[in-house]
Amino acid sequence: MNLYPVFKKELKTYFISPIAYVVILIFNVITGFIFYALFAYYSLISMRYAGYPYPYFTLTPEEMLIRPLFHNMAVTSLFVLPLLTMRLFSEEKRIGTIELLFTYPLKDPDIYWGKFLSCFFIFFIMILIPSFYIFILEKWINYDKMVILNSYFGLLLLGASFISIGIFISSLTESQVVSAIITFGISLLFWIIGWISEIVGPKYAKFFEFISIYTHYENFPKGIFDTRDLVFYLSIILFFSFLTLRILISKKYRG
Amino acid sequence: MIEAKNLTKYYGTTKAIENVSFYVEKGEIVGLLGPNAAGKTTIMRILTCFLTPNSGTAKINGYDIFENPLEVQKSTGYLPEKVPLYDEFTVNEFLNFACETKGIRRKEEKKKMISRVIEECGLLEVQNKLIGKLSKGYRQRVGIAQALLTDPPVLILDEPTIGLDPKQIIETRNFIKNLAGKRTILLSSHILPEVNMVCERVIIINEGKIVAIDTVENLTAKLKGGMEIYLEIEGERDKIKKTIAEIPGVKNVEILPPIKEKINKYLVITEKEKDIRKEISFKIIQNGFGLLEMAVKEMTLEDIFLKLITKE
Repeated sequence: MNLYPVFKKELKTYFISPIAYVVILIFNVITGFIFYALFAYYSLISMRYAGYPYPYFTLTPEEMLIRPLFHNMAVTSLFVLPLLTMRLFSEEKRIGTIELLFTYPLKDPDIYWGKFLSCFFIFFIMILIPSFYIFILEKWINYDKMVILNSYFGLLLLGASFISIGIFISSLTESQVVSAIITFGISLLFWIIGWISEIVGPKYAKFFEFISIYTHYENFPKGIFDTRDLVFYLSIILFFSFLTLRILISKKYRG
Repeated sequence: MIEAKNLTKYYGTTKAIENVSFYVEKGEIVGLLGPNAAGKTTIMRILTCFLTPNSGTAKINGYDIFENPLEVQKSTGYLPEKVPLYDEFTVNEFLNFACETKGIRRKEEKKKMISRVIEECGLLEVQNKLIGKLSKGYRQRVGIAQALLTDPPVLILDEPTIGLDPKQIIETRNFIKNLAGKRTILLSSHILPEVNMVCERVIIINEGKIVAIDTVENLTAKLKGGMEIYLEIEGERDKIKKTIAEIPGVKNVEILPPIKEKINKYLVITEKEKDIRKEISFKIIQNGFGLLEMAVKEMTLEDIFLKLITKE
């Protein structure tokens, strides 16, 4: 494997064109705002129920802070990740550098995974920043740290799935905008497809529930680690990676 | 060094190239010549493993494009036609990236290679500038620089002088000429004098098929019909025309416009391979006309080319 050159080049491009800064900034402004809102609401409610004789069971930091925070981080990722993936192959195709890249002594998987990992790395930095204020909370609030690690693990899997979808779409079109819109559409569809599970009847309900990206994500911020979710995300990532590599090969045959 | 065997490539249902076979010896400069859309770029893209042929195969430096594409790409430096480069990188950064893709990791080695090509291609003043800000001529040089980086034995240059100004064209041509000897070069062009100047052999293709492979001299000799002689003679034109036409070996005499009173230009076409300049000059002087000028028109590559592609 020689994916380092492409990985490095893509990272550099992300930071030269300000897209990485912009996306990381926007994501963190939104997440920071949500965190503030959740935290303020949580302390307000805690105060109100402080003198209440019966314990209020859902009034835990895991339930009131971490779960909604990670839910919102996932939704925000859904919005911003197409902006990170849209460039990866579309731009190279549009300006023709793809011809240069594919005539260098690199294997297709080297190029693909180099791009994938560089995007994943930006995503990783992006979601890492909120961890600072989550961990600072520890000073005042007791919570289960494993829940946070588990949620992060789930969010990384979710992001990697969106990235693999995004790169696949990017390999199909020369237009970045088209690439971003389609990626967003497909990701959103995968997100909401579980909603019809209650309408279609018990026979198909399981199916729609199972292919929904969101149903599989829900468990992680609850602190549940289910191997089915892990397998689901890995399948999505590998499936779209496989499709992208096929597209790259077919380009050589079709011209 | 470069060996193409029966390459055929379709784009959808349109045939781009058909049954293309040729061989390039080590150290040779060979020109791939053809009108636009003849299939030059397709052939080069196949040789660099960017495209896969529908049938046939090719070998570069002994490696097969199907069995060992990485080795093929390692031994080839390629300059694509439109010189696509990463505009947001500086020349140094870009060459550094190109070095890494070619498997060079060690810092000193990279530095050595980059400074060598920067010097060789005259990029010293612009090495820290963004590629997007460079002029067309410098871009081209960066393109050639990245092809030369690891000193590959084979260079494939797709229209290396397109879009340059005349001075740069001459520079690039001389540059390519200087690269010869050490390296095997295949370059494409639709500019005929260029190929004539730089290349030892030419491969002429038209509509995806090879029309001819030979040296320029051999092609000229093969296709030459008769000798074309230009004359400028002072005297009465009809008489002169008659006199020349009577010389044995003359096929055709023509008075070239603009037709004037006394001094006129004539074009004489002789029968195949006959040099009758001596007879003509003798006859003209013997008849009392003034011979002002006599010149033989050499067959240019343009003529050969047009003859070849309009033959069928």
